[in-house]
Amino acid sequence: MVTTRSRSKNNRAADKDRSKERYAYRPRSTFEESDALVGFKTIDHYLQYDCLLTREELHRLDEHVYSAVDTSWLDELCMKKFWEAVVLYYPLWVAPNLLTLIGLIVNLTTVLVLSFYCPTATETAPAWAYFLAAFGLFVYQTLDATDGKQARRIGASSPLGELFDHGCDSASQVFVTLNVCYALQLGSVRCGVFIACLISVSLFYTAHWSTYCTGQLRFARFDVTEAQWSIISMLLCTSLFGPKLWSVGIFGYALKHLLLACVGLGTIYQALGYLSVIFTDGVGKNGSTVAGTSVLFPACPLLAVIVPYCMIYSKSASGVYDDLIVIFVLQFGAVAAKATNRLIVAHMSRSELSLWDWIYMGPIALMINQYYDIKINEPTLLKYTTVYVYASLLVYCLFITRQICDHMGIYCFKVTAPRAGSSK
Amino acid sequence: MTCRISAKACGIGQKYIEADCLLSDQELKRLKEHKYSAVDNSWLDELCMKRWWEFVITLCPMWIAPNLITWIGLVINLITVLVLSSFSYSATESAPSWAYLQAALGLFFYQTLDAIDGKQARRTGSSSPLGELFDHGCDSMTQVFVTLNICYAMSLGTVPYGVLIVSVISVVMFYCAHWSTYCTGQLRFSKFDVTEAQMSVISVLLFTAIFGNGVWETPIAFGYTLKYFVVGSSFLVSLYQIHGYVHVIFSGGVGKNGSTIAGTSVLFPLFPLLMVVIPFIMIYNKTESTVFDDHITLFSLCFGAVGAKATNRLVIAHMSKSELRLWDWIYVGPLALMLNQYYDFVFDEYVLLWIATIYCYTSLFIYCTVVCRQFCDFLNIYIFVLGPRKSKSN
Repeated sequence: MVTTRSRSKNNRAADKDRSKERYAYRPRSTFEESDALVGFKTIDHYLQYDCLLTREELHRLDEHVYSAVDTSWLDELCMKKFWEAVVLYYPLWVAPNLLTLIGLIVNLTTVLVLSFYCPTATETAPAWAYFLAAFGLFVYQTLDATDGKQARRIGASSPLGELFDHGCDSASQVFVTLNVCYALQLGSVRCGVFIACLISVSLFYTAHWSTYCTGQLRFARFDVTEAQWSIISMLLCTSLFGPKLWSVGIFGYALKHLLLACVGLGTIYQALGYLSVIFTDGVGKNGSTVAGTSVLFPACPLLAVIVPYCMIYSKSASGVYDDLIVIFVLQFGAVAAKATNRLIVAHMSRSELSLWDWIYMGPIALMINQYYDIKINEPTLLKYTTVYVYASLLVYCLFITRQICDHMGIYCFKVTAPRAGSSK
Repeated sequence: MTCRISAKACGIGQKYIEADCLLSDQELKRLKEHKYSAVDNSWLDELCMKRWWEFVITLCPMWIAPNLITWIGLVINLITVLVLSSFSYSATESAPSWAYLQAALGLFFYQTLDAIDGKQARRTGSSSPLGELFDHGCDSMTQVFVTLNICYAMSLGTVPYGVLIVSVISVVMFYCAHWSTYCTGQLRFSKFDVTEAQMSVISVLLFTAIFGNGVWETPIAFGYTLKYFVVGSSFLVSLYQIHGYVHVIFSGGVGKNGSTIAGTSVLFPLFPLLMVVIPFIMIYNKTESTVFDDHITLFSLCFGAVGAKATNRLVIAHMSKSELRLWDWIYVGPLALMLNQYYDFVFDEYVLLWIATIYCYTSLFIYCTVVCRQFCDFLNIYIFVLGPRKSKSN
């Protein structure tokens, strides 16, 4: 997260010339040989369609330059100084992507601990579990913020780093949201956990959707850092006073309902801001995206993620999805993470989005099971499809990362000289 | 306020057309460079039909555009099917003899006009990729009409799933033929192919006209009637044909590493086909009432429209050497029917079937209109009139 420095006039003129070329429509081109393929024809076709970039997309990814505007209040106030202090303690041999991955794992671990005690988001966990989750989120935030600084410090900045960073962010969205649900015991609110995850995922996707349109990542005064600190505070309060704190009545409403209402209003305000940017600030031809495609189309993958899960949840006649709400929202989070990852890759490689993704077979299987009146046991099918969607997400991340590393002649988790024998 | 809403609606319509119908400039260029390529071993064609068609072509005036001939054939076929369907709406009733006779004649006219449009184009020097595109487009729409003729003649509505199975096989056969063309770049006709199939259908219709459609209930052997014998034979021939197509698809790819002429996977065209077939089978299978049996004609027409659009996309992908897309907005029709069933029949199924069918045909019509218009603009020609446009220049 850096503030963009103002450009000189000379560069500005050159930028304008490049702008016209940059934002022309670029349809997907055909694939060429890649050593990322495994050799079996059917598997190769799946990987080509679902996981790999074309040669032109890789070249455009090469040219990508990180661009962000950060007016975050807490960042300006104290966090930047803290992060700049922390980064000095990192050894120079630690790869930035390794920091990002460690942060994700820490976050995942602390959420799993809480999940163990609160499987339906209605139970009470020990105080130390909430504290652990707060600490884990803080560590994640710090590592997430310092990986970019470490990259610049050792001269290892690359588009892969940004991609990896955003990828881990998308995977951790559902973890952070689950933390909130456990603290507030939202499982006792009808649809509470699912709606919270829905809002979280939509907001994250919309932020990157606006980036796909403008080519620039924008942070408002109250944004990611402030949201994360709010959650950390919430977890600490829960740790000190217990989750019953959120059931205290004020003006006839429980504190948790008031909190949810405030979050809802804040979310709507933020979303309207993003939508305004999306509709008016497209940098491509005729106000289109960085790839020259329609600014509206990214709504379709988002709906393709959200609508099936809303239907599955509302259609269910038994309480199976309330009893297994954690697995359900984890599955939802994985599908949304892949859709968001595709959007991020499309932005960085300036290419068009495709509507279909094979990860949708997970929710579709659940829907077909309901369509035919529950022929397969729902909890069993939910678990199988969750395994499937996480496998799909993992395969996608592994292959695309490997392809980009091969293309750029670098390693993902090592700081070394460029790979021997590779060429761009 | 009204103006703003109208402008918004126009904007949405424009975006829909851009997403669903338009070709890119590169695709248009490749489409322009396309050359027709076919291998015709058809038995009846060699035997007598070519002589008949060459005779008929001499009767055509030189001022008639080839696409107009194709279009007239389609309209004739459509009218004769509608007449027959008015008597035999659920494919279980008998129709008067003259209805079957006029359907047979209509199909014969359609076949003749479909065959001579290419000859007329060469005769008038107006051959173009648009002609081939238009021809295949009309063919894809008539698939369901020809199939319905068979179902009416044999009263297949009395057989469970009879009409649906015949429709599915018909669409799959036609799609696979063009799928193999997408892989090899060459349209192939075997000894028993379109012409023979059409003459078989005409024979069935004439037979029904002469003897009445009760003749198909004649017991043959093992408790099966003549109807089952004929349908079973057709099924076996279809399987043989599909096996041939699949073999060509897997081994005849002319692109890199055996891929298609667009350089894409030879397997991907399978998925649009499944997207057409599977929803309709699920819808038919799931329903708890007899609405789709009572209105099998409407259901088949809806299925035919979706199948036609998928096939049209495949034809265009072949001719413009571009990749296929999985999603098409016409799928909203069958998806709406599935959604209604998913939520336990919130809407009346019959009404929703009408709405879905109208939507699907509207989508198909818009697609065909926009593609043809775009391509005519690009080639600087008209669809139904001979000669280049006067005001424009290339």
